[in-house]
Amino acid sequence: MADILVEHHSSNRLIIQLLIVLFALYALTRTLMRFRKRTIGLAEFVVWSGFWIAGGICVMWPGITQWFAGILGVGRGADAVFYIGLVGLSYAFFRVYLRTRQQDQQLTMLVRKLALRDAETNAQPTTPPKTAADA
Amino acid sequence: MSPVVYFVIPAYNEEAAVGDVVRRVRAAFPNIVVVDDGSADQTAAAAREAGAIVLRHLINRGQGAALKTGIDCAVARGAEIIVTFDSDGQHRLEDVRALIEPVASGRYDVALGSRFLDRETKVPPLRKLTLKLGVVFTRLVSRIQVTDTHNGLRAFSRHAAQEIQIRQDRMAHASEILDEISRLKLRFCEVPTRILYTDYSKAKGQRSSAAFRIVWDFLIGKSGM
Repeated sequence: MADILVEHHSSNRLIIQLLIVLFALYALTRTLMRFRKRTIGLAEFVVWSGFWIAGGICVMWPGITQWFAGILGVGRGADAVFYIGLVGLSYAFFRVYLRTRQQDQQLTMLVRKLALRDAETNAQPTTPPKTAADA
Repeated sequence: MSPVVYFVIPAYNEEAAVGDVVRRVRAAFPNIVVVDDGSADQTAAAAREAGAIVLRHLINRGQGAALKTGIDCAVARGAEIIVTFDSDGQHRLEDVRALIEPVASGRYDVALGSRFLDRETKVPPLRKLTLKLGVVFTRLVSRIQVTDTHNGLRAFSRHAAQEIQIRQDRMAHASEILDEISRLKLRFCEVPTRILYTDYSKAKGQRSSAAFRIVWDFLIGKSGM
């Protein structure tokens, strides 16, 4: 039973390696395509390409993360990847959060402008009392 | 000559109450701006029928956003005093004159309604606790001492209404207004105002647990992010 599990484990590992590398290659082509269409700039292209290439290399040769973990003083390679990933994701989330807030404010300004403009254009004969006309 | 007073009433899905509120106010004060904050019901029609100037947010942006829209409209129309008033009928018109007077006389820039200065208002216990924590929080963070931080009934001078920045779209605008009063060193006073806790206003109102969201929104906004 235990042997089977181990065997499964190692073959699964190959499969997962292959899948992740394929996905990284796919992401790399998408990044390149976006760069060609100029929806992303050179800096973004370099950063994202670097990210996917580095990720692919780490998956192909897990020893690299082990070596890297040693430098950082973290026990295992997987842990080092996990920690860095967590920090990276937290930062990405923070950026998205700020962006959403900013867009919320812009949306409110837009909705307000439209409301005020519609009020100006709509003649509202019932409302303007004499005080408003004086002002 | 009495100053030009504008009422600003934010309303979200209040078709059942807003018409009566507008009619009641209109008997004494002719200038009423109702901001329909993207309601799905007939709020705008009900308010317009009752004789209010109606502005419509195409999508719901929150009470703070609606207030700011209404205040901008009132200022543009030449308001000298701006009264904010809730659309669910929890405020009493009788309290408004006492609220306007300190501002109209020029002694204060802002008059704030306080349910805790009113002996008759029966505040439900959990709501009372939440609001009192709000008072302590506001005192610590915004350095302004009031007895009721989240009362929708206020009167602003034109100058105050123009200076106060409301960036909080949702409920944290109430804390933000106090923060602004403190920052701008506006002269303010509190006036006893009754809150009518009807089944309707309680059902439409905020849950006490909304306080967490309010504190979060306010602190994030205040940090300048």
